[in-house]
Formats: sequence, C-alpha cells, structure tokens
Amino acid sequence: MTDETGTNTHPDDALMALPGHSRGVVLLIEDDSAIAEEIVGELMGHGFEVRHEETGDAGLTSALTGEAHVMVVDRLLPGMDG
Amino acid sequence: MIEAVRQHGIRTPVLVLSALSAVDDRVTGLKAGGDDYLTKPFAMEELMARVEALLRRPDDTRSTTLRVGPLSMDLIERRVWRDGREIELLPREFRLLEYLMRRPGQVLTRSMMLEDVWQYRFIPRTNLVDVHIGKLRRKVDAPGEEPLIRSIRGTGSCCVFLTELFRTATFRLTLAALAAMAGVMVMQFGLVYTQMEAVESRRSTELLRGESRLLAQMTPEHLEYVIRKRATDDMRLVISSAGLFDASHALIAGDLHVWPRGWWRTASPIMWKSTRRKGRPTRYACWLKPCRTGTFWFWAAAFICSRSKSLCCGTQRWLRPSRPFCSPCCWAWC
Repeated sequence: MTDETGTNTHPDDALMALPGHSRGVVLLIEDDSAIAEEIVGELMGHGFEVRHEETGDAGLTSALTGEAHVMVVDRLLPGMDG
Repeated sequence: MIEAVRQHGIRTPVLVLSALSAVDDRVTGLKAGGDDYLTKPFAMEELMARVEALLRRPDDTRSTTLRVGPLSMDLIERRVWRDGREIELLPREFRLLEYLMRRPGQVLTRSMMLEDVWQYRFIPRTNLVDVHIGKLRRKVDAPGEEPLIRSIRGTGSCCVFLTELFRTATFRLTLAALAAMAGVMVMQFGLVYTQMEAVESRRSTELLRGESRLLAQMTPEHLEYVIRKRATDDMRLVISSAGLFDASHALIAGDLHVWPRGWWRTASPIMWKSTRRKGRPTRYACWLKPCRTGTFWFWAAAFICSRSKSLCCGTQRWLRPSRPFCSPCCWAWC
C-alpha cells in the first residue's frame, strides 16, 4: 500500500498509529543520538512503543524487565558491548 | 550484552545494528544470541521491515524452551529461571518440574508422577513424591514470591498458574458477568422471599380471624368433637411414625373412654387404651384384643402372609408395615 508521500506502509498503520494502540514495545539501545532519534521517530510513526537506552548497562537493566517485544541493539556501545 | 540477556532466560528477538560488516563480526553477533543483523548505513524501511519480521515470529521458536508464567526452562542446557533468578535443581527435581511445566493448570496425582517421572509401574505406599514436591516448592517459590506449585488435599500435587488466568481480559469479563448475574439472582430471591413472607403473614392473619369466627359459632359439643378428632388424628400420626404398622386402620379408642359397641368384632386385633391421671400427660398402651383362637390364628396367618412375597393377598393392605419386619414388638406378636 502506498500513501501520498510515496512510502510503503502497512495497511494497519493508519489504525495502529492512533494513540492508545501499540503494535509492540521496541527497546532501542543506541548511543548515537542522531541515528537513535531518527529510528525512534520512524518506529513511533509505525505505531510502536519505543524505549530508548544509550548505554549497554542501562539497556541490559531495561531488557531484563522483559517488557520489550523486540530489541534493536547497536554492536558498539559505551559501558557494555552489544 | 546479548549474551547476558540470554543467560537470564529472556528470549526477546534481537536485531543487531553495526557499522562493522565483516563476516566474522556478523557471526559473532548471531552466535551471541542475536536473531538478525543489519549493517550501517541502512534504509529505515529495511529496519522497519526487519523489526516487523522479528515480531511476526512465534514467541519462542526454540522448542527446547518451556515457559509457564514467570518460569522458564531450557531443556538442552537443563537450566531453570524464575524472573531472571536461576534455580539450581537436582536431576530428579528438574524432571519433575519439566513434567509439571508441560501440563500447566492440570491436577496431577501422585501415581501419575510416580509412573511418568520415576517410571514406576506399581504404586508403592510412599511419600517420595511429596518429599520431592516439597523440595521443589522451596526452590521455585522463594519467600515473598507468589506460590506456583499448589497441592490439592487428597489428590496430589499440581502446578496451578491462576495468576496467568486472572490477567486475561476474557477471564475478567466472564468473572464480572458471573458476579453481576449472581447479584441479580440474590436480589430477585430477596424480593420473592419478602413477597412470600408478606403473603404468608396476611394469610395466617386471615385464617386466625376465620377460625375464631368459626369457634364462636360452635356449640360446646361440636367443639369437644373437633378437639377429640384432632387429638385422634395426631395419635394416628404418632403411632404410624412409631413404625409398628399402618395405623390408619387401627381403632383408636383411647380418647373415647367408652369402647364402641361390638369392639371385638372390629377388624384390627390391636387394642388401644389410654390412662389419664391428674396433672400427668395421657399415656397410651396397646395390646392384643382378647378374641377367639380362630380369629387369632387367622390374623397370625394373615400377618405372616403379608410379609412373604410369594403370598401376596389382600391382607397386605391391612397390615402394611411402615418399617421392615424387624421390630421386637412384631416378633413378640408373631
């Protein structure tokens, strides 16, 4: 499905992007704030709930809560390696 | 970091992002427990597509892992975690827990566990299962944690995870609906009961009024008759419930004081007599009526016949016992 801007979107995106509807929790562990911001914006635009951590230790603590449905982890991180 | 997460028993799919595109590095990432790999720079659409692909995977693609509530078990590494806390188990305890986790919410009896975990083909009288379940429970349910293994008295041990059930919206809805229905039923019952009571009290008041009007109209003789009749009826009831025999045919002369004319010709061989003394309740006594020998034998034969199934005659209706033929009185009579 293609919308006005010409990007591919999921058919359910319009519904799922509504506040209160989450398609899942994504835990993003990324130290580069520019890339992180871009990814967070994109994920939230697709209707995901995003938790963002900048360091490996903080990411590990967040991951152990078991809330996330998917984790996106940078290979090189300050503190603990991805 | 991924290794650390996996060691805690968390199987969340992981997408690894890296600036390093060397094959070795990708392999390291995947081996550490990563599920997918994406090298920088990447297109956002690809990241989204990969995240969605990871989400589409079933919760646990490794069938070697069992998960029930907060418990997770790795069958290959033979390790168990509860909320990230690793539980050290002996081999037998591990097999027992695996058996329980494969059947969550089921009631499992001791004999089932003896057969499937211990491979016993006979059921010894032993508390082996209880001892192991006790040990397992102490390890699985740390102090302050919600107990996961529950026992039902008389059946054996079972793994019940009611907490999981309570979390589902359907279950909560069903519970709420049931509670609402029960509430409505209680209210309706209350209403009906109050109405019934009101009707009953109104009726009894009316009855009392009617009866007093009737009594006022009665002559003293009629009143005496009514009282005697009621007393006689009550007496019949008492006698029949005493279990001697069906008293509806017996002559109750106790209350009449005067024996009716030709009483020896009456059908029943039993005679009732009441003794009255001042200030004491009336006593009733019964004995066999003096009669001709022939009459006595006739009744004796009828009595015996009435109790033998092969000889069902008309006398049965006369002497139908309200209890089996066991009373010493009946024996004596025979």
